[in-house]
Amino acid sequence: MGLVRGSATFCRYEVEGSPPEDYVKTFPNEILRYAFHTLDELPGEERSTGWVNILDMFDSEFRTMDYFKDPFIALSWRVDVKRIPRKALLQYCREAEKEVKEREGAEYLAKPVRDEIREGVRLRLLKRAIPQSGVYDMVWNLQTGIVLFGATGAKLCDEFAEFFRNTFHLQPIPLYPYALAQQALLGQGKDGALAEEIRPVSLVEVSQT
Amino acid sequence: MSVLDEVRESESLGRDFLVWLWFRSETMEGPFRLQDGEEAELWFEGKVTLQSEGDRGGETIVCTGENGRIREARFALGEGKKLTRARMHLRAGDNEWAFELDSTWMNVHALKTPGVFREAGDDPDALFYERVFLVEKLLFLMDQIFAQYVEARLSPVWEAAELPRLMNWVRDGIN
Repeated sequence: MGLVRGSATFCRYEVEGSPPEDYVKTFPNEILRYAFHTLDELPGEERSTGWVNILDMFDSEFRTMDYFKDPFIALSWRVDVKRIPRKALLQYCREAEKEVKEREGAEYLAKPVRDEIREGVRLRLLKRAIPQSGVYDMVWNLQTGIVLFGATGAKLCDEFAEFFRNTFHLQPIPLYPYALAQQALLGQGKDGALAEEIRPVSLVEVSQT
Repeated sequence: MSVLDEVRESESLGRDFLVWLWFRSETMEGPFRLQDGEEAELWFEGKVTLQSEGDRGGETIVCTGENGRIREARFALGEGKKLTRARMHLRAGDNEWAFELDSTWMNVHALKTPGVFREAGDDPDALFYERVFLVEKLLFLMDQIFAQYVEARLSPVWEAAELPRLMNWVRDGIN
């Protein structure tokens, strides 16, 4: 979501370790390897994730490699999902099963047959479904090692972190208050572990006085 | 300990920081003094979210808009509700940012940066750099303010002066 335009919502990661010295040569291959593919290119799949151009969500070929914006790497992570309404799947399955029963004069269909019918129906409906696209910006400052990711949902962020690690072979660690407190203390030349001494403030007794 | 466990264990740190920010923004006599002589003014405006944990699960209170409602939020604070998210403005020099900060991860939500002026034919990279500069600048300033909070919490002045003043401020919200 809108790190480079519009209203921005994002979380922060600190990347553990540094990119390889020849990252300008190696990263383009990795980014292409994990580039986004539309669901039309992936028959039978209901979900597709991958990198796209941060300024153009329909560009996943990266011919000009303009994700290198020194000192940043800027990409968007696109997530396309096709959803088949459960009741629609059920209805089409019933109709398909009925058709098979009539054609074969059978009163009962074994589970493997029903599973096969269900999969056929699912694939047919998937072709008709229009995917929903989510596009989340990612800006990685290679000088500071900080990654900004344009989403805050825990599940999505976890999936993003794993995708990032798979692409760049570096682990992004989420930043949160305790980690920021440790950083602040280290920046003040103090022991980061002092952050553990900060105890919760209780305001409840205020109302009881 | 996993990151998630650490986040759960230390979630009071973000909550108490938000309360302190609110208290400082309403009571401080001057702006935050930051590195290199920079100053930043911060104020709460628009929306404050509090939560409580009870036998019947959590209750969320969202106060938006006018000062009266925000005063209700301060009252809820004294009743033991936890401040979990707040919308605030930060002004430094000619730049002003508006955003929500959550207490658990200190993630930024619905950030409006100072305007990035765009003209037809502008280099898209120039716009990218300007925008990212403004986002990073906000984080740089907020990290410094958070560092001041951490320093204050570990200082003897906290128990002796800052905490009593904060308690008085909450009490003023109740009365």
